[in-house]
Amino acid sequence: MAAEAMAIGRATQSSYLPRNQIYYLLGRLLRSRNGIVGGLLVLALALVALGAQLLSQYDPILPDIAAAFSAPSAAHPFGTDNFGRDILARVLYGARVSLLMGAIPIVLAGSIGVLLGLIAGYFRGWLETAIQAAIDVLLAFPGILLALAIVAMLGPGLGNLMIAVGISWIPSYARLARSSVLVARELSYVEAARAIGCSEARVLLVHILPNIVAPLIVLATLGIAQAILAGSALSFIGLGIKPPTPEWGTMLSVGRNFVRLAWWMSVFPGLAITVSVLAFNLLGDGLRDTLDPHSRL
Amino acid sequence: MRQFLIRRVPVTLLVLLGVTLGAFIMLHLAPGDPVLLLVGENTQSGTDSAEAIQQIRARLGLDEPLPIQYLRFIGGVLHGDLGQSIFQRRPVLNIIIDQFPHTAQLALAAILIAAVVGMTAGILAARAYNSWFDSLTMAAALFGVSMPGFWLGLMLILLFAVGLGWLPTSGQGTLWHLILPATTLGLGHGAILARLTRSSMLEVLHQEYMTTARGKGLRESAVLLRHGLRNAAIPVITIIGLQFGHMLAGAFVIEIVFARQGLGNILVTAILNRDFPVAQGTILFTAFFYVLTNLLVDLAYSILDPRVRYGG
Repeated sequence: MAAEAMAIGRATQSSYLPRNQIYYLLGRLLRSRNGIVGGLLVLALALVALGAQLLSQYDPILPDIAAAFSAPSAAHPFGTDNFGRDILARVLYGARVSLLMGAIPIVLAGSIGVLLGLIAGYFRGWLETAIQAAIDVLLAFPGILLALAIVAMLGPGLGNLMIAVGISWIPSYARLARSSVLVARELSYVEAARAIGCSEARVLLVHILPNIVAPLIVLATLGIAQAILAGSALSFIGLGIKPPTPEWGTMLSVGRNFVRLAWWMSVFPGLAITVSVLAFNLLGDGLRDTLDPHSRL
Repeated sequence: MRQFLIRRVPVTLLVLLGVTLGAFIMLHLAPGDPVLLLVGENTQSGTDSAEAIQQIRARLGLDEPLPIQYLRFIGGVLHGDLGQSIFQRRPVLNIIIDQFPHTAQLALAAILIAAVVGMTAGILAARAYNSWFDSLTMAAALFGVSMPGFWLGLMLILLFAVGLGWLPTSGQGTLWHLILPATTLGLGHGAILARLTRSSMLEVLHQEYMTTARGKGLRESAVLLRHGLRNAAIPVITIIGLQFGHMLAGAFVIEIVFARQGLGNILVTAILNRDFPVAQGTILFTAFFYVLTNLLVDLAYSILDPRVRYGG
């Protein structure tokens, strides 16, 4: 019972503190033009992903050979592909996969990376040395190469792709969290929390984490953009999502084969990737500018 | 300088050791037995195949315990032996040496384009700070960092090869074949450089020595280039160096778009065929190259900027 009460107390406190920082971020964000545009685009993207079947009458997977390679028209605004499927429908449904491909690896990388960074920065000692060494080794691989290596090991597919991209982002979070903790652990509120007898875990999770969450959110937002790019690139070279699933990178790799015959197969899925990545980049830039006055200049 | 080497070189060696361990573990834990694939191609009856599998395993050293395989692998790497390709039956190092020039050529051409386009755009945007030109350049740069390289490549193929017919869609050999892939790879990195050069220039533009330079009557271009750029260039050069390491890996995807030979092509083929010595060797080679470039960049940085004192 006591443990349960403490857990609830911790939950309410920890959800209260970061909310303060998140409200602060949101308030500042509304003054950044990039941030507003990015936020609206991200919102639109989420709505498209949720309501894809409401927005298009066509099935994204069922072939209709009679309609293959139709140029853009009123019936098919983005044209049709080699199987006669409506490209607009496939682009709309593709938003689902892309958002998952962007968000899930970042949640994975964020939670593991931040935990490692917190431990390394707070407890120091051999733990820090070990974690730091692992981070240095992982950072020695360019991100896309690391993701490629992991996909090579696990095999293609959406799940493995998300794990691969996720793992390649862990070191960035661990590094950022560690350097933030190194600063925060010397501050007086941490000392105060220790003085009133808080456990190490409580100091770390309830007092330090909420105070370093803002830069982590910026990294996560920009990270989603990078994860969408990495996921679609891996799918493009045939190591990610397999057809017939509507995914933009895979659609482009098919479109490449018909580049002389059907330009629309190569144009629209790429435009969709660009707009999605742009949305998260704008939002991330907006968030960073509100956090770091120096970069506004 | 010596201090710097003493501090950095052991760390770099440790990282390289970690990289070999990482590459080894990754590909040896991978599911899918390449030997079965090989045997499947060569033999018909079931009784022969069990024996054939054992023979091939022994020949490739795959029947030994993993730690022994790792030690042999490290020993091999130190002697420049990255193993044999399972499918091509030739040393992995030879395959890499054959393919590396193609990728290096692409990465070098791309870094040149990135540096020229990115730094020019960044300097001009900083000079015209807050003007329409600045906004336009930065919007283009943001677009550039958000665009997937492989899509930019496809769009350039569509425009210049399919539409206008000026350049070949794929393949290699002449300078004409290099233009589109190098532009594709260069523009994305150029966009990053443009943003960085601009913010770096903005930081120095308001320094007192800039006012002094103007005060003594120098032409604006001389003020910008000799006093502004020289100081702003340090972080930019660092990033160019780091980007070069990245470009090698970034070139992989672009090679696929333009159906070019190179490390990317052999890596992806190796992964799809589960030819793990080749995949492992290519990944290892690229990571080594990346780590050593980073070391050189840090070294150059400490020489260029006397304010940096490693291990002071």
